[in-house]
Amino acid sequence: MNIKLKFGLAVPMLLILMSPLAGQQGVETSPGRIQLAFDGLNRRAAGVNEISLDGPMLQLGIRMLSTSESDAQARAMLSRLKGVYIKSFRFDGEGKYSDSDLANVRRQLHGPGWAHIMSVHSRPDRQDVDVYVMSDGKGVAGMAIIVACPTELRVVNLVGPVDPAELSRLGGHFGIPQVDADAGRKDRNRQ
Amino acid sequence: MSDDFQTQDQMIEGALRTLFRPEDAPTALSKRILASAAKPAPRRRTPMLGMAGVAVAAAALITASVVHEHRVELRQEQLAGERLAYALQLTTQDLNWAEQKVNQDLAVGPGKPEER
Repeated sequence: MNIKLKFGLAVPMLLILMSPLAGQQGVETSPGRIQLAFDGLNRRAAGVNEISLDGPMLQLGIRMLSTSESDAQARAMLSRLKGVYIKSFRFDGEGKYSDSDLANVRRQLHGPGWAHIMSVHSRPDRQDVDVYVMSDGKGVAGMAIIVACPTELRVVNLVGPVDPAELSRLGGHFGIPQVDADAGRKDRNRQ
Repeated sequence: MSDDFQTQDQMIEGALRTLFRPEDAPTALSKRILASAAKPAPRRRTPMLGMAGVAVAAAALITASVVHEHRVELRQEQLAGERLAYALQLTTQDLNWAEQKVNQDLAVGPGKPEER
């Protein structure tokens, strides 16, 4: 009887204790999530910047951004996000990192569900940008952006139903500068 | 034994001398006696005052802790907002840059020398 009572108490207690962990694991193992692990790159970088926002902190962050009515649509789009993760490295010279440092991240992005939707390599700007999108059958489950410059490397991972087009329209909201990405297309239409 | 009595007598005499001085008016004596009698009173109130002090200190400590916790939460919220704004700025900047480059490339058209 006593053992039964103890067991009966222990199981709910264990479940209560494990519930926050389960919530965390939900984001950790979410289909759009990648591990931003770079072996040894921290030591070679002059500066490392890491942002990791998910769960209640992300929702708090969204609430803190703005309460303005004009930002309501952008805020609604952001509220669907489950996680925002960025790892950025700044180097004090060129050639401090190589493609092999990105191998771990690229391997995950070559996994099932991920699609490489955009790849821009600009020689004049000396910047490469690769955009990957993860689909889980129902829609977009995450996005990853790799930005590589001679002295900077950045990987962005957004988890949740993100539309890249919607994201690029965030300019003008929350203090994000507005950029006319369609400038080239408009010029072509004018011709 | 007699020495003890002598000492006690001296003490009583000393105390009486302190209380009663022949040059004083009778009112001065009564005031002094009342003041002397009133002296132990604060000692009786000490435990009550001590308890009240502890209660006030505890209340102040709890208030300070609540205010501090609220400030920490507010700072965390602000930090989360700032980080998210920064993350979104970086993301939109990178996406817009890539989109601009693609649009520029499309504007140049096929067969023309690639600018990028």
